[in-house]
Amino acid sequence: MLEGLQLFGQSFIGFMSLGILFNVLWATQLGIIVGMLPGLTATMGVALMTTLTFRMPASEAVLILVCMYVGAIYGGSRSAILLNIPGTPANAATAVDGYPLAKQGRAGRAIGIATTGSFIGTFIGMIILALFTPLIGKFALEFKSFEFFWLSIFGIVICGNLTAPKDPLKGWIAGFLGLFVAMIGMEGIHAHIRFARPGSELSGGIALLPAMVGAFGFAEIISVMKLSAYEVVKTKIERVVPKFVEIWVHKWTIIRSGIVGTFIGAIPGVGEDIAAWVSYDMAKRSSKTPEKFGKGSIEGLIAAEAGNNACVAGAMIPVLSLAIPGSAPAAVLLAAMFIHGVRPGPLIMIEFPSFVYEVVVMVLLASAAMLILGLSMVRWLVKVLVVPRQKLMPIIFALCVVGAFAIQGRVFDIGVMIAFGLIGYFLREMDYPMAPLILGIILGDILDKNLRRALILSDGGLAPFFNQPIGLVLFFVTLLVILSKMKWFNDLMGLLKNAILSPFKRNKGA
Amino acid sequence: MDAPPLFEEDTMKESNMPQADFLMSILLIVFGITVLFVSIGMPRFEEMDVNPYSVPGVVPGFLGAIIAVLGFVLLIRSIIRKGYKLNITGRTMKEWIRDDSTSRFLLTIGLCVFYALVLIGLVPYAVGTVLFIFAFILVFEYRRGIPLREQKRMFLGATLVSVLSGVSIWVLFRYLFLVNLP
Repeated sequence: MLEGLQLFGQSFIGFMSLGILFNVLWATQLGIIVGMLPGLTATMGVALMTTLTFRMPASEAVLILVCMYVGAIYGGSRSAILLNIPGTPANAATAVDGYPLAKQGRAGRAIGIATTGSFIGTFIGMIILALFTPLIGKFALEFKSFEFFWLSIFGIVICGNLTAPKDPLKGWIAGFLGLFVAMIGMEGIHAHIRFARPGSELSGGIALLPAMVGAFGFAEIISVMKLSAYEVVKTKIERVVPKFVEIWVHKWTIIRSGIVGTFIGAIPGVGEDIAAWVSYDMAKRSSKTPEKFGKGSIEGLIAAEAGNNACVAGAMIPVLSLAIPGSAPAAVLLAAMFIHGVRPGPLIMIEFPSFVYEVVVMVLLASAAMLILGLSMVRWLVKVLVVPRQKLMPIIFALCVVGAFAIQGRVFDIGVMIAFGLIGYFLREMDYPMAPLILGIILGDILDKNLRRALILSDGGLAPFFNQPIGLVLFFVTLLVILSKMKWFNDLMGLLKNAILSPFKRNKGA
Repeated sequence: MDAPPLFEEDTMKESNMPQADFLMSILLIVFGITVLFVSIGMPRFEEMDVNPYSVPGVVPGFLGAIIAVLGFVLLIRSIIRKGYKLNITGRTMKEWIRDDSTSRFLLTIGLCVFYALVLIGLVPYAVGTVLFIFAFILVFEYRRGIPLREQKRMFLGATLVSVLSGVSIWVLFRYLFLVNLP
């Protein structure tokens, strides 16, 4: 603990230079703008920024990416409040109460509350990030091939379940398709080239960044251009900085949303949008005034924003401790860390112990910048929303092309971007979520190596997959997640519950 | 917990979902089985005395089988929801083609794909980008039936935006961030 504080202090001092603070400010501001603009998501912002920063030193580049991430997730609240269009999917829950507040002429107040909620949410997430990452890292050192196999299957199943709550089957299909994509190219044990001709471009495999820029960038551009144009609401923005009392009365909602958001962020692949909905839902259930939700409830707005921003820090916990992304933008962050030579994973506390605390400081700096920038320059920044989409989208697409090409300098990657954009667009139209697909591309390699290693160790036997405690727990949770979506299982559970509880009820009645 | 539909299209597309699921499920089954067979056909390196559980086909084969099974579940579900009644008639096709959003959709894809896969290989990056942005703005802002003279402002705006942004992207990446450009 003390050592952690010391490392935190050292990292903090290390970041205190004018140049770095300047980077924090512009990257967070750019993140806010990216988040505000409908059609530009945090994932795409971080992916494009990875291209821009890949010649910089590792810690500086990752700092800029973290600022972009935090800024974009917060920035989306602006368009959610003013346009009723969430700037990023993470802010859909924000729109439910933010927009009615704007219509009531309280846009400035809503923006101020959203900003403060986001800041406190990020702060809570940051504390949990600092406390839990070393612990999980230590725990993960015990993981062997059997555990990693179950972890990757668990990741896909739970991510599919939560990102497609209406139809988890499609979430699982997307996840397994992602795992398959990772199989293309040269495999890691015998160097055999799978599903591609030797010597062809495809034999090098499909890189994550071009695929993500396509699935989150190009696909989004097509969606935005297809919809009819939106109208900017003309609202007067009054006082933005909230009163202390306004925040204080909702302290428990904020703390609960912060904790819930962080833990949802830590679940593989399950990102800010789900975190916001779950904390919004929990706030509504425990509220004294649930009838106000959806009609401009400050409590609902603050729950959604604290939840989605806390998720940002939460999503970094598995990135650092397991090398498994907690959300889609965190997947890009993970890829960026690898590009810069930092290897996150169970060994991080041994190989790069100070890096974890550097990331904690980065989140702190980004959230401070977000608070300052979010409460100032509000009136000026709203003008960005007036830029018509037909002027903005071609510029974004030109950036997507550079983003796909620049890292490896292959024209082939531009093709990958286009292909994933089109596939991603059609899959999304049919309600297949993108997050499990991307998570699958990352987990594919882990699954491939560890399943085969595990089978070699057990000499083909299946018993070791089930007779070790961590693996067994992961297996049962995975099974439960799948079964919980089956109607017959829920009926059976209902019957069992009644059968167990009925004697007590009868006694009570007597 | 579910988001309210933000746009009308969200609710409109629900009605065609069983049909889309039906077609997709067949695609998934065929894909899964193909992957399974290709994986079974992968080399086993028996002559090198390799552990049979470490051969390259194990994991993709496993994934192919799962994809096929999930596709089969989707197929059964779509059949129960009457997804096999494909509603593709001349009328529905005409409606789709005439729909304003379809033309915007096709134009966007066409312009983007042409720029990324054709134009960039033909002309230098900066030139291609300026041309693409100019063409994109022009296509979506040009009003048919209004004389060109009255649309001068639009042309001017498109030129300004495309030249400024195209050149600044090029300068920014090439000289400031030292990134390779296609």
